[in-house]
Amino acid sequence: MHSERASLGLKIAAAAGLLFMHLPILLIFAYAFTTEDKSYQWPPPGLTLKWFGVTWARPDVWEALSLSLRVAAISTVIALILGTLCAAAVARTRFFGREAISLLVILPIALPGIITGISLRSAFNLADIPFSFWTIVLGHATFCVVVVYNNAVARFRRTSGSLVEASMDLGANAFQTFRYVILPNISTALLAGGMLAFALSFDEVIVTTFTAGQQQTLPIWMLEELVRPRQRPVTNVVAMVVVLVTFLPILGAYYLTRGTDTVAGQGK
Amino acid sequence: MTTAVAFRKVSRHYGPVRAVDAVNLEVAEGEFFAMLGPSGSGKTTCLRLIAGFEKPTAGEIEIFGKPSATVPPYRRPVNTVFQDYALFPHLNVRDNVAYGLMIAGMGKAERHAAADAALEMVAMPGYAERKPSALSGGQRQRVALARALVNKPKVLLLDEPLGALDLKLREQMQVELKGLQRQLGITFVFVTHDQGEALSMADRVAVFSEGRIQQVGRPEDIYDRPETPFVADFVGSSNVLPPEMVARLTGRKAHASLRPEAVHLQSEGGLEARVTGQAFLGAVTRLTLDVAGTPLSALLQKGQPVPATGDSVRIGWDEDALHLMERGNG
Repeated sequence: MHSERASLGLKIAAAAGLLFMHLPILLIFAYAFTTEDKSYQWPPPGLTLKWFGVTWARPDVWEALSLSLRVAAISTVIALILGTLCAAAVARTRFFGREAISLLVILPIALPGIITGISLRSAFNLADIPFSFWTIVLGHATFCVVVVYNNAVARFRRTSGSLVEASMDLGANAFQTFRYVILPNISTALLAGGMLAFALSFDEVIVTTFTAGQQQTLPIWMLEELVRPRQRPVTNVVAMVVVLVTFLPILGAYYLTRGTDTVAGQGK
Repeated sequence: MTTAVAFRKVSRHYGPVRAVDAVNLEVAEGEFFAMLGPSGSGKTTCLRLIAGFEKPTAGEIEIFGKPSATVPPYRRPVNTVFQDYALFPHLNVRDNVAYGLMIAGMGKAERHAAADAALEMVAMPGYAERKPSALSGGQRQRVALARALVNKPKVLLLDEPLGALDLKLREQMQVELKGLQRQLGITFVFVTHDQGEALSMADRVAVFSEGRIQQVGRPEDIYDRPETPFVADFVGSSNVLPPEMVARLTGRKAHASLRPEAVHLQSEGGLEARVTGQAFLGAVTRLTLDVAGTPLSALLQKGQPVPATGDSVRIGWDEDALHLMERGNG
């Protein structure tokens, strides 16, 4: 462990960096309370809570929020199932093309979203698939699977393979082994991966613009609102909600995966 | 006497590698059977074949007379103590030990009582609530033992269970394991690369090399009458004399083993040897010698004068110390 103290200059630089990253977010929050609704004026001429009521009463907000939550939930479920299965295969067994598959699974998150979006859109067009809720879900699942896969594969690698054999040796069949040994050992990784996947899906814009039809997810709705100056602080109220909805799961994921650096099932 | 485990020409190949090659073996019920060999000799693969984690490429394994080819690991009347113990990190010690009983459908109170009794048997009472990560290596080893024994297996498989322990603890566990095996009457199949461990604990020892069994026998037989040069060399580092030298000494052309402790210095007669080195080992000193180009080692008891390197000495041995081996390796 380092015992030396950071110099004053370093402390100031660190503080400045953190402020630079987080002050703008507070600014968004402040505008949610402004009385002025045409342009963002600083300082706000007055403070009001009326935009919370206005937002509450707007059906388009609710539609967008509900769509985003449903898309995120279903993409996450798909990612949890496919990501875990894929991670188990890559971490546990050796087969021809294993490294290639490992790379291909991670690729969607490395590719720019706009490429994923365009390619999915042309593929949907070619296959004559009409844009719908499910095309959005598919688009999101491409990168949600990666997040779950990455978390799960790391945990599988840190879980000793002999645990599965020990369970079988003690009389448990494959299902019982999964239920009583594998799942408890990877559950926090899955929860963390799932939460990250949910958060990623919830604020995704680029892929969604290419894979959604007439429907608007919450981030897309916000983008449209910014272009049309009408009741602007409503966007800020929604932004606050989005920050909270995204921030809480990420915080949860952080706490759940702390302190799990030791290899599970290692005896020595 | 019932046969607990039988191998009938069992092979396990990985591509071109013959991890186990046409092995025949019979382990009797109630026996403490050791599989001894260097790493990569196929002994652990044999253990995994009995447990069902590996399937034989050819041949058949019978467990108490029943062919086991189609029996999955979870239906075999055997339990394993793993080399890395493989305790479940998310369960406490009691639930680890009770795992097999839980899977078998035993009620909570009953299986907890059984687990506590098993922990008592391995001298680990009072640790039931702890997580495996809070235990030392030796303690984990005992828990792993209790977890296997609580299921009352017909055969207990032990994969180098003492390998990770320090010398003192290892010697203590050797005595305890042997006592436990006598008390329970369960067949133990024990894999080790430590010849001292195999010789001191086992009723019978199988010596493995390159996927084949070199010799099976009681520890005394293995030690005193090795059948192949490999066994002579691996079990107790015996001197292996080449056939030409044996022919000159006895008139018969074959490898022969000569225990270092049987070699003594003498003032006249015998063979002339040059001292190439000495190593102080505590109770004895190991002399390395050169006899007309053949390296040889001898153990000198404490108190005997130790010749210096380069000295010329005369050596001899008791007549029956030289053991001729008619078979080659394999």
